[in-house]
Amino acid sequence: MDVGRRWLWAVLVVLATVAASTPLWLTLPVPDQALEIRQAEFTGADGAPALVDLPHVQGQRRAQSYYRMAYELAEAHTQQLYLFIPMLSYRAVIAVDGDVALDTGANSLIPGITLGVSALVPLSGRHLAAGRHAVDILLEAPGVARGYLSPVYVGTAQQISPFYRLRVLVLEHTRMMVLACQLLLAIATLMAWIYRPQESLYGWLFLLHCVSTASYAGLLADIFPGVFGWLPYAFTVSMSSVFILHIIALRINGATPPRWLHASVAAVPGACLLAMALGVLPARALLLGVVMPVMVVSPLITVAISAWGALAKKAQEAWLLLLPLCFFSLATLHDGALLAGKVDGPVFLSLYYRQLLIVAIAVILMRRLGLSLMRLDGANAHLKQRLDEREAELRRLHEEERSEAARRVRSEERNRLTVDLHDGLSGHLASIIALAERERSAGIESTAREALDDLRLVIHSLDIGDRELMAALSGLRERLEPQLKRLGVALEWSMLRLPEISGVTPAHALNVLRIVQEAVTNALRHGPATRIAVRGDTGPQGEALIVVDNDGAPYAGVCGGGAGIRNMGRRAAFLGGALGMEALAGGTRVTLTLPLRLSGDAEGGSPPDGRER
Amino acid sequence: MESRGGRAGAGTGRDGGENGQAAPCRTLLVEDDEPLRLRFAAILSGWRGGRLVASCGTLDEAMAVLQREPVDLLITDLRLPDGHGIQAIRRLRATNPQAEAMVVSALADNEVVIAAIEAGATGYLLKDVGCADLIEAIEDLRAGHSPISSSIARIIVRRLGERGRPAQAAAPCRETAALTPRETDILWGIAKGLTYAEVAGQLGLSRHTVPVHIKNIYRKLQVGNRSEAVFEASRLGLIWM
Repeated sequence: MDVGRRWLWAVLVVLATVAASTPLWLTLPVPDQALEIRQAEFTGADGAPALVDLPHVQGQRRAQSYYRMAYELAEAHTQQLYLFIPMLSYRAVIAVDGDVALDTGANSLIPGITLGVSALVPLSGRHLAAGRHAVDILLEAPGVARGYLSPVYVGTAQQISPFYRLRVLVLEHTRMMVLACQLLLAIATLMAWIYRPQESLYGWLFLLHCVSTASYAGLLADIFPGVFGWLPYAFTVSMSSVFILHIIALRINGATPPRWLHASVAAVPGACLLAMALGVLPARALLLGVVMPVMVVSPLITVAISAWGALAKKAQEAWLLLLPLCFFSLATLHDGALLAGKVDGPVFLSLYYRQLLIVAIAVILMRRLGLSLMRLDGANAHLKQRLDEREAELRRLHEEERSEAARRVRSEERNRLTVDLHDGLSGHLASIIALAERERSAGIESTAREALDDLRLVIHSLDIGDRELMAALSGLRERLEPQLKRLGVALEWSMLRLPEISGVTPAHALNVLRIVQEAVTNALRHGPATRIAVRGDTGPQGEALIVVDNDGAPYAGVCGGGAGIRNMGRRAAFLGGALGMEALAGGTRVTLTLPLRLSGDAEGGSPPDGRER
Repeated sequence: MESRGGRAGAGTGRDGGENGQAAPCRTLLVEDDEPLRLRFAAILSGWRGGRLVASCGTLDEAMAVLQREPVDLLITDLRLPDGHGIQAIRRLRATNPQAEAMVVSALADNEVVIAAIEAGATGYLLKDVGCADLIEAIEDLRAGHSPISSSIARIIVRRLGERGRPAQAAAPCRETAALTPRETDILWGIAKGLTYAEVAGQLGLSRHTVPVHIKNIYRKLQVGNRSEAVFEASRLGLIWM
């Protein structure tokens, strides 16, 4: 997965590099079938005509010059022919045989900084006649760059027009596309900034797009004819974009840009504008001496900033910015060389590469958007999990609260009942015992004692909570001990090995106590025992066992047991357990088997009958 | 009660052997139910180790006797027509700190027994106790042994747990802190339902030292003569009204 992603990124980077570098190495094709004019008579500003080879780059800036050339047709053409100039800079008035055929300024949009255009002149009528035809081109050189004229071609529509259309697409339409993208992104970043004003990066991006569009001021020439006079000012304004680019690169690195850099965004172009307006220096000199060098050198500094961010600060987004920045600075270097006359050609590349930068910044913005959405999803999932946990906790607390409340109600009820029984019934029974003793009425005394014991059994079991069966049995032991001692019967008792039983309710406890009580009573009654052992144990399957052994008469089968034993069995079944009776060598064993978790069926329920005597 | 005489005789014989020629234990009985009072009085009269000072049916009579005469042992019912046995126990403990008090209860596993212990009682009797058992219980108590049932142990453990909670006021923690780890272990074992022998075995003690520890625990549970003790007693007294 990770390796796959790495490869994907590598392929993307290579593709992007190839695509982005196209303008640097690609030469647009020229018609090969058409008639090519490679020589012209050039008359510059100094007035001396000279024969020059085409393409021709003029030595001077901002000059009008004339080219005169000729084409020769062997025979008259009936087919329409075209004169095609693949590249000129920046404006030409073309005349054929003395007739003005085309003024490129009339149908080409000049965005501002002058760039190459193509021209296509339809030849008609007498221009197609056999013989030599003269072509005059009045070329207006741009203000900052030198005039340029490529070879000229004459050919049919099929021979020429595909090449012309390609030039129009690349040179003019792309230029407008760049502008359109720039405006679109300006709006997008403005919206992002409005909604997230705390993230100043969006504001800087918006500002970058705004000042960059100043380069296109020339487009307004149709509305404001004087705009060309203002172009130096517009370029000076757009110079602030290089400082903004520094700030953006620093912010993408995660660093805080210094204050002076913020200040220079306005201060440097402002100072230049002031100098221009006050006439300290001529605008042209300022443009060529200050603005252009700054715009050529600054991208190199931005490259250094991004490289520092990508390599030293490990900022991933700096990598996304670094490659387009490299190309952009190559383009500005190219343009600088063009201005300095070191490179031939009319096309300024930096305008096109600005587009690449804008795309890279859009990618970074989209990446941030994607990442923050993912973080949002993560945070949502985390919050949802926290909410679920909290809900579960509340549910659990609610359950606890409810069971605690139920326990409290039971406990209060029991207290009330106990108080009543204590004050009333048990006191009276004790009184009856005392009276019967005094009257020597043994039957009444023993019955009253049994009634009091049974009352204690019931009251005691009411207080038994879950997992307290052993304590319940202990209460029974405490009551049996003095009775058996009085009768001279030894009692061995151990519940240490009884496993813990859960789900115990008072009703369960009472049933268990009654079974054990009955087993002891039977041992005393039927098998006159001298020793009774009650012990808790763990069965082979882990179940709980309560075993009552006596040394009385061995158990003699079902008929010998009677109602008492049937009752014990019913109670055991009621508890979800079983009752076993077996004869020992010298006595009888009663085994009560209980599951480790008693079911809730016995909750509040009563045993099927009362005690049988 | 066929063997009453014999058993009682055996009891007194042992008592005589232990205490030598010590003065007989001056005993006060307070019980409002007449048949029971007569029964206990008859048993106590036959006890050679003690002398029944008086047997009273009301708290007023008991208070008058306590005012008048020194008493070594008080055996009292808790609910009396004109008050509560706990008041008699407090008076006894105040006038003679060496004296012992036992409460008579029909069930002996109730909160009110704990209240009596906090008032200073160190033993309890069931109302239908056999005469031999009664004498034995008294002699055990005189020998420094106190009984405890798993119900009482559970109530004590529960109450200590409640007092130990940080949310509660700090003052009542005094008793909890006073219990030694061993005493706490004994209480827990008995509350769980273990026998004295099993508790002793688990803690590496002699079976006979367990009741001694129990008496110490009771002594430590006794609430001093503070206003809150009076409040506690009256609160429990009110429960019984």
